[in-house]
Amino acid sequence: MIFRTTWHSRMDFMSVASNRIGAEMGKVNEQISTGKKINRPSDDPGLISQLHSVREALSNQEVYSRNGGQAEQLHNVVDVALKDLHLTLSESRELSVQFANEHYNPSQRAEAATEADSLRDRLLTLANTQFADRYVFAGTAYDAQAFDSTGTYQGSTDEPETVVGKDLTVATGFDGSDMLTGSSDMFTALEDLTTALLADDTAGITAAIDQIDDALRDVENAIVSLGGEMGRAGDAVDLSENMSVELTGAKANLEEANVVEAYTRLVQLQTNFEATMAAAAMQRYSGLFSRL
Amino acid sequence: MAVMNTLNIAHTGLKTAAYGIEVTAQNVNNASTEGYVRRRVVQQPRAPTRGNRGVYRGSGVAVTSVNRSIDRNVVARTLEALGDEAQARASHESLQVLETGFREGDLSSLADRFDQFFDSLSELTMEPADYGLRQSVLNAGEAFAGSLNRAAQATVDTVADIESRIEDEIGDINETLEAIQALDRQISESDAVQGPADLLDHRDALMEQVAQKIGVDIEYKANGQVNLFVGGHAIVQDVHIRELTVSGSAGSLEVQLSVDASVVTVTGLIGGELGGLVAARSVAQDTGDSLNTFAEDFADAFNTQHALGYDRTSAVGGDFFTFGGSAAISFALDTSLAADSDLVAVAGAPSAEVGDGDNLTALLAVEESLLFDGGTKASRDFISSVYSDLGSEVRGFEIDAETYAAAYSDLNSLKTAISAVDLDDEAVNLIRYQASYEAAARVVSVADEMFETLMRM
Repeated sequence: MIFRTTWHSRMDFMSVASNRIGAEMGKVNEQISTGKKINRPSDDPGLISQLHSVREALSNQEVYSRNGGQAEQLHNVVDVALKDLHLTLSESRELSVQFANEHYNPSQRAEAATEADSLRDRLLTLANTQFADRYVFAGTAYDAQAFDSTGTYQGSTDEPETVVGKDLTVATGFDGSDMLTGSSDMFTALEDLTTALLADDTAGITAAIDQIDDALRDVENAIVSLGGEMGRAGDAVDLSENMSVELTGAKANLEEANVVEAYTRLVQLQTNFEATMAAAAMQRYSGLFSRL
Repeated sequence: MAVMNTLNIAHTGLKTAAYGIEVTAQNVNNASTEGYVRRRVVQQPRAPTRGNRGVYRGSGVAVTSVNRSIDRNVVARTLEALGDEAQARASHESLQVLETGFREGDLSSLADRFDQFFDSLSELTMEPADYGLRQSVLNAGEAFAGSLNRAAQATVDTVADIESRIEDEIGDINETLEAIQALDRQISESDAVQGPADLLDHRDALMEQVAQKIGVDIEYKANGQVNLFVGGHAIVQDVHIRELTVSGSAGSLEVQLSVDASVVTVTGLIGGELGGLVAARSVAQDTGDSLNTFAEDFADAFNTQHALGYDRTSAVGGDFFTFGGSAAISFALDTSLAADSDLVAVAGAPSAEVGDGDNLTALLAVEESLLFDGGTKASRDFISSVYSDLGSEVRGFEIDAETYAAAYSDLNSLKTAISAVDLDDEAVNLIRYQASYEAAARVVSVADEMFETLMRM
């Protein structure tokens, strides 16, 4: 079909073409200036849900990583405390073994009792170890000392947990009554040792050794148990960090504009626009009237 | 007498050529007038006269009419496409404004605020009694509620803006219909030879306005008048018009047509910009309804779980979120809770132990609870679906607008090809009529010489 083309229809066509080019240039310009290809839901409705999921997961990983990092720091403090407790208990055992020997006289044992007392105080201090103002062996009641001066547990038997992953939590405090005085009360063991030393009671000293051995086993078990918790926290942090890297890449793929491609397209559109304008300008000279 | 007849014939030729030049001049000077349809002079030999001895003799040429170069079918289809394009474009533009209320890609968007609220709860698991973290939860909750309010308010504002525009436009459309009615009367009473070309041009321009506003079907009548229909209902018929009216309350405004003593609701039948606005209103209302559903169901689920926990005073948790009539707009933190972070009930027991965050885990699980779409969608997925549904609608209207714009452009090109003035054509016509005029003048000159010859005899 051959249309009758008029000056009017040619100008209309150029007007439509320049409007269309202008609209696309606006979109491409927006991509270049924001660096994003999705600036509103209608830019790609199909990708919105996917993009939201990625952004949500990325946001979650940041929290998981922060929580996991703090939990790791707390676990390190607990680890040091447990190892110091183990060392102190070992020293207590050595003292007990030494003064259970028949060669020591009552005054030497009385002096040893002072040392045993001092070791008990060290155990109490370690059992009340703090991380950022929280007593790490007080369970969920970590705002107060886990053990009072008599060695009585003041904390909670519930352990606080923090979220470090989807459906994944790690402990951020420990039940000292279970962890430190579970099968044998270390404070009572040291008190019994002091009493036996003061009483020059070798049988009592020997009995205290058994109690200290039980306490050592409790602490060793606690170290093993903490190791598991530290491993989970460390894994969670590693996973979060790896996930963050992956998700950041996925987010960029979904969201970010290909600026080179966009710029190239902009140059193409500019060329088209200029050509259209030049063609429109030429229409002034092509009429028959100008030749009459 | 042959010489006299020759003079008469030349006279008709001069008149006809002069008329042709006049019409050409009119065309040339209106070449860039919007809506101007080029005129064509239709001329034919005048009826012959019977002379002596029964011989028929020519009596010159006459202009029988000045036609407008127009194809009514093409005009009707062009106006139909114009209405379709205007409808899709109006929907697209209205909803584009609504989209900005959702602030996609911005950290203050509803989706991101929702994430940030649950992130603050996750962070609280580290120190459930910490004042700063509890306050962060309240701040994130307020920001989340604010973004929901803003998105919902955007839907309400969009509906109000649309209805305000509909009310404004109806008056203009009725005035245009009255003008078409008046022109129709003049057209039917106008001179047959001169033709009511200018009136027809004016009426076409007005019909274009009406088509763009409400979308119309056109029926041309033999007497030059037109009937216009909207959704099968006549709005202009036989020089009578039916006025459009608006009734109903905010949010449920209806466009009606007065038909005799009764009224017909045509809200769903109109096209053009008003039809587009009505469609956009429906999308905005659906989006608002979804946000209200979200606000109600999410608040209920979260409050239910919050009530199973204990606050820092060992009291059972109260409402965390509240909402009123328009749930998404009135959605807010409970005022007592907002003023006292101790009232956030994250403990699982009334022990007031600082590290008790047992209810936090359960509150976090609300994020994953399948609360929506018949237990198939979690809150976050539901929010995303509100975004993608709105985005799909806007994108759909944008594609429709582009498609209809292309169709309109093609049809308009066809219409322009038929109706627009082409200066080259007019230049040729000018030469032709000038030549005709010169030739007729030459005939007059010859007849004059014939007279002089006769007079000298």
